[in-house]
Amino acid sequence: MKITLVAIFIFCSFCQAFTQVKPKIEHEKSVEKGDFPKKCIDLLKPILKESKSDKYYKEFDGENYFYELKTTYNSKQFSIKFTESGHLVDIECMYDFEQLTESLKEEMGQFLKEQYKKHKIERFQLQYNPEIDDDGEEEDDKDFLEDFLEMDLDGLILHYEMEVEVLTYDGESKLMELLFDDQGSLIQQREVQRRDEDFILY
Amino acid sequence: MIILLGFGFFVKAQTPSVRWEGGFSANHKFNNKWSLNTQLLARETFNDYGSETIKPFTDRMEIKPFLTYALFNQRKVSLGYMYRSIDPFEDYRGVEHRITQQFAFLSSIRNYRIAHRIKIEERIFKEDFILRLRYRFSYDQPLQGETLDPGEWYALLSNEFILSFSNGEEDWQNRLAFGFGKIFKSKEKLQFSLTHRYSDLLTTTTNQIIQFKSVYYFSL
Repeated sequence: MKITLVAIFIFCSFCQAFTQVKPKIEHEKSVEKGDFPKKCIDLLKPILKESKSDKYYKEFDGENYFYELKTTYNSKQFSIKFTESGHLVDIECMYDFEQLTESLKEEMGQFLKEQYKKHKIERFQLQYNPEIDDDGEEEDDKDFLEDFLEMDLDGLILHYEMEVEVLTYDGESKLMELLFDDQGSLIQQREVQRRDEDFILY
Repeated sequence: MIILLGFGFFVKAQTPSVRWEGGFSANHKFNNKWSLNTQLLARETFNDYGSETIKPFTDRMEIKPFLTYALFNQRKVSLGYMYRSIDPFEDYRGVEHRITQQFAFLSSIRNYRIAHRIKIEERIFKEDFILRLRYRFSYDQPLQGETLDPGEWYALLSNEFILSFSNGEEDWQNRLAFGFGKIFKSKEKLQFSLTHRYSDLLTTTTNQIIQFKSVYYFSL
């Protein structure tokens, strides 16, 4: 009996951990270009030659620090994220959800319809990640950036990230960040903390 | 364009009445839908319209509870009541009761947030009644990154149009405000703003007010 109860408890804890939506905690601070690791600036040179409105940030996600460049390159808005030690994490690009293929729109749209009573996509981004080789090693930063600049999609892992305002079937209204793989299947979901509103509403 | 219009009013300067309003704003969330905001404010007037004589006096004290219901997609409807004591320390003090219906929503241009607030107010005095329609848009910008994190400063810019109806007469007022605030680690905020109020725009006796405001926002 005791063993059964322990087993049920472990099973429930496992289920809860698996389905729990972790909140997105992200603190961001503007920094100067000179505060970025030199390694990142050297890597970014081909982009910085042509980019506009470069903004540099240092982020803390509750566990780790990151550096992020937000910029306009080729008339598109990009954010390029590095670890604190200067390793390239991912490159995100603002994108119009409606420009996706019909099958992807349908796959993601179906997920949203099933999960939520109402939804409204606030922001949609393409997220480029480095390719992982057979040994499980990530592609070198320089090769990753080269693949991105050449838009060599065979050498990149493409994900789709959306920030979406949702109304759950429990009647809860919240802002979610959802990450989908290149087939439109959900990989990760986090609740985004909204900026305070009391000082602009009252 | 609208902001420039506001500044345009400011250029036609007369001697404005200078005022300072200070107070507290407490917010309580009952659940994900319902919240209550209560403000306690007092205003000090330093000089009258057109007068350069400085004679400070407390011209109002008020309490404003607002019950708010959150709709989908960051739209909110509120019902508010205000009790205002006019010239509270004078023998001729008066009272205003104000009932407010508010609809507010957020929109964004690229990643920039704009808050819109539409209000209908019924101002009830002992011998007078004023109906007011108000529309305000506000833009707030964190000053140290795209998100507003504890310990950081933000800037605020807003403009409000107010149309009043009383005894068959109309009046139009414009309020242009600029401010700064700081959010603390405990999520409380201290906000300072400067508002230029230009009133009686539909008459020849226009009046101006320069109002400093300091409000401490906190949650209960």
